[in-house]
Amino acid sequence: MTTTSEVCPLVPASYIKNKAYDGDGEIWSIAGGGISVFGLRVKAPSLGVFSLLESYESPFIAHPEDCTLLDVWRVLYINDRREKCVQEVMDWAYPSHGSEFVHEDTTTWREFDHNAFAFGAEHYDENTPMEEIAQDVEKLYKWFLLAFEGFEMIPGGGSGAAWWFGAETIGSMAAALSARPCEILWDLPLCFVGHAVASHARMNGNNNVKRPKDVADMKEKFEEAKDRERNGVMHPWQVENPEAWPLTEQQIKYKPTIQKEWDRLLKERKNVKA
Amino acid sequence: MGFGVSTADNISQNTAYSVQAADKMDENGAILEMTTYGGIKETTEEVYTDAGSFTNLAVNAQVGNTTAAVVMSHTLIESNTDYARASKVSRQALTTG
Repeated sequence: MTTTSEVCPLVPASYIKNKAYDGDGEIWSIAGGGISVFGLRVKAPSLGVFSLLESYESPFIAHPEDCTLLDVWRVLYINDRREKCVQEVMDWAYPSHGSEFVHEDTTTWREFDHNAFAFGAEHYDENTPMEEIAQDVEKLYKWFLLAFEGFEMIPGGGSGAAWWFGAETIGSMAAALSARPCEILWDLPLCFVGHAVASHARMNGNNNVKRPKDVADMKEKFEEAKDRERNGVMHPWQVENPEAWPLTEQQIKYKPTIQKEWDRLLKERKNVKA
Repeated sequence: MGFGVSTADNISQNTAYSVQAADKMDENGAILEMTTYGGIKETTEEVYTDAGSFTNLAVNAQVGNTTAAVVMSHTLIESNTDYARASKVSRQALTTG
């Protein structure tokens, strides 16, 4: 019987799988490769691409469930044009006049909408089956998410700022890499920047920078450990190294005789050493 | 596919052995003889638990010897809704001889 108030014992990291990552994809992303989706070659996004997407809370990132095909075109257009489209994205996000955007009414569209739509239409075959569109969108998400593999290695992750890709982040990354803002914003793939920042943190003494663990496997290991505690069974790390892993209060509570087993194990280990 | 071995980065424990040394010197301070004592094994291990279960193990009145370690520090590295990640440093006396 599982209870939510139950204490989970410590599980050594070596017993938990590392999170799988696409090492090949990271190389391609950093080396300047691009995936092929919607008839386009899409290069790896830079920090500035995410900054612009954040400036208007792109549904592609913020609300994927509400993301339309036009939203995807906007993302692809920004990723392709980068610094050349900053002004039109700004004018679109903070219009000085005009009516509110209505997808069905093209008279409400602004320059950014028209350009993004034209950009998509130029490459996209409108007879593309929905299944293929869904596959391309998924591929695009995976490509964009690769950008965060390096950052995931840093404990605590982001800066804690309200804008994830805002001025604080841009400034700290430029400082960490001794790079100019335009390089950080537009030239360097974010995947590279993430790994460089992780490496910088390690060089500054953060020994905990490493690939993250697989959370699903971790939860499984937590449940297995709780089960063993309830059943008065020793954990594999206790059997392997009883000196460093004494019994927990729960193990003794559920099976008081376990103390004798542990003492015997310890004695055996001592005899082996002697 | 990478060139590396897939399990190469799954090491989460560092062990360090150390001893103290007492020096016997001549009148000029040159060391004539040394005797070691106070040997210890210190293990630093990365550990995980669920977010609500992290409790400090580096507490007073632990008893350690050559067969049982004491926890010298227990540092929370990272905590989120899924888990708590910590570093645990244990110290154990080494047997003489």
